Amino acid sequence: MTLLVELAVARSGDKGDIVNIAVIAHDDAAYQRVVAAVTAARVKTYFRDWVRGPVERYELPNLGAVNFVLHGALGGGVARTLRIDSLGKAMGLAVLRMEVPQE
Amino acid sequence: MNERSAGGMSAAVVRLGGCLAGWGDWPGGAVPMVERGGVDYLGYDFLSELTMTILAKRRARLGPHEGYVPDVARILAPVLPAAGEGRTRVVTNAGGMYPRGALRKVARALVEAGFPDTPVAEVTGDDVLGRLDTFVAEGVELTDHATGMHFREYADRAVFAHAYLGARPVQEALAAGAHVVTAGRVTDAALFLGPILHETGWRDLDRLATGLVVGHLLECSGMVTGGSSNFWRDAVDPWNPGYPVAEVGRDGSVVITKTPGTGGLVSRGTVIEQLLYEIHDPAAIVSPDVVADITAAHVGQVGRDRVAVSGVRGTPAPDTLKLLIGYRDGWTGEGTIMFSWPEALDKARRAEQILRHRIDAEALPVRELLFEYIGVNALHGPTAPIPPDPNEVMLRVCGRFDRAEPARALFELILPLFSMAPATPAGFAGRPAVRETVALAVTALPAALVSPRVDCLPAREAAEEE
Repeated sequence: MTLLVELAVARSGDKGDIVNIAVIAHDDAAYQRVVAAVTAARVKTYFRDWVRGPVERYELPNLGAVNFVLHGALGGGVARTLRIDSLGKAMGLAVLRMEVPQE
Repeated sequence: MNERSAGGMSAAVVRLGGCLAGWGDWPGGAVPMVERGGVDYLGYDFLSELTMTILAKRRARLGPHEGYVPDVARILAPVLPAAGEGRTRVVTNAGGMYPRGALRKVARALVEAGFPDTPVAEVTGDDVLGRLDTFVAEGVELTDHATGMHFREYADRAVFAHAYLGARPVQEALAAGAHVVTAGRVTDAALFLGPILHETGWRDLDRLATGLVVGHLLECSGMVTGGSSNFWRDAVDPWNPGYPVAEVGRDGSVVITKTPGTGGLVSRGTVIEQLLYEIHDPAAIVSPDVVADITAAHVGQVGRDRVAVSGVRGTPAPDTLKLLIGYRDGWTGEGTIMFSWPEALDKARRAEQILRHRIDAEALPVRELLFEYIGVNALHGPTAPIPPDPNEVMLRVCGRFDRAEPARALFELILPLFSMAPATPAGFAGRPAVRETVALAVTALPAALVSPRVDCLPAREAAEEE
């Protein structure tokens, strides 16, 4: 297994209680592996009770990136959450520890 | 094409600088732009969801003539002479909940700097707090998209309500001749799309969407020039970063760059990072002016620290505006305590156990309680692997309460841990952090119910008010 961090970088951002995670692949081959391995369902399971709502995935082959939208992901949103990472800034990097099958 | 453009209407390219990612960002990013960047417009984004709650608390504490960014004149000071001389124009949303207050402060600073005739403008009309009851009576559905809660459930606790205005009133303020604009809650991107529309007169949807994306790329200042970036190792002199400059051609071409001689980095990677920051469906990036689709966009390096963006498509904006409502929702209290190797994590866990027992024993009325282990799982939560035996762990506790006193009492339960917890508690946390929570609801409002207003006047007149 490979860790996703070998294939991509990530940036996350918040809007209300929604966190988006853009996973940006290093190249076209890495993008194909990301699309195949990192599904919305996997991301939802990965975050367990941190993500209470659904997860959507949008593919952007033109940018070599995949955007995940995580609903109910911030403990109520920046103004209300008790978490120290109230903006979900580090959630994108957390995804980079996911395992991806070897080619 | 407008006749009163700062950059000169004959220029084929409009140059815009993104100077501030939020209240508290570094005000120095704009300095190289005005000193040697030849930038026509400087956009300052002061507002975020959290900043709105902070300004609302200021207004509640200090009165209705507060709720704007109080140190706006200090932050804009380095660029006001250039605005006074007409070399650049400055567009901000520093008005927050009371744009007139920000306008007067900026106007006084302009007068003091020797520019009493400089036109300044406010943009208002976004504040609809006083009209919500009427909206409800008229049948507008004010239901929070995230929680499903209706406005009437917290109407008596509402402290602000702002509709997100688009670029048109900003464009109007510039058309009226303003050199400095203090808007209320216009969208972040409108600070840049407004000037672009003023200069180009664009109506084509693909062009509008391109302008929206330019605004999106500039609104977080250094986050597109190597700050907050995974490519941070490639950013040079990160203590002196160039904040972003967009070159927007009348033909719709866009290059993101920064002032020569500054630090940071503009690469395909940093631009894609910011392009996807805080967006949801990339085929439908919604704004009051246009809906942008970046699924066929092209981002390419065209030179050192120069990245071109093309292929953005647009569809019509919805006939609703985003409405953000803030309401009082209790208090939070928090505190921290640190533990040292050996067995630092187990000791911190024991401290959590002790604290939970003490909270029960004192019957502290806590609605919700969160323990985080800083150094272990605070940032990655349930995805974090547990390290074998970390050198140190900071235990953080944060609780939600209906009232302020028990929130403070939570902190008072932490102090005795220095006498109760395993060897050895360290890192005395100092004063308690107790905050009132202003929770946020997001809903939609028919755009026809909102009337943006622009008032443009010479700095001298605004400075003499009150």
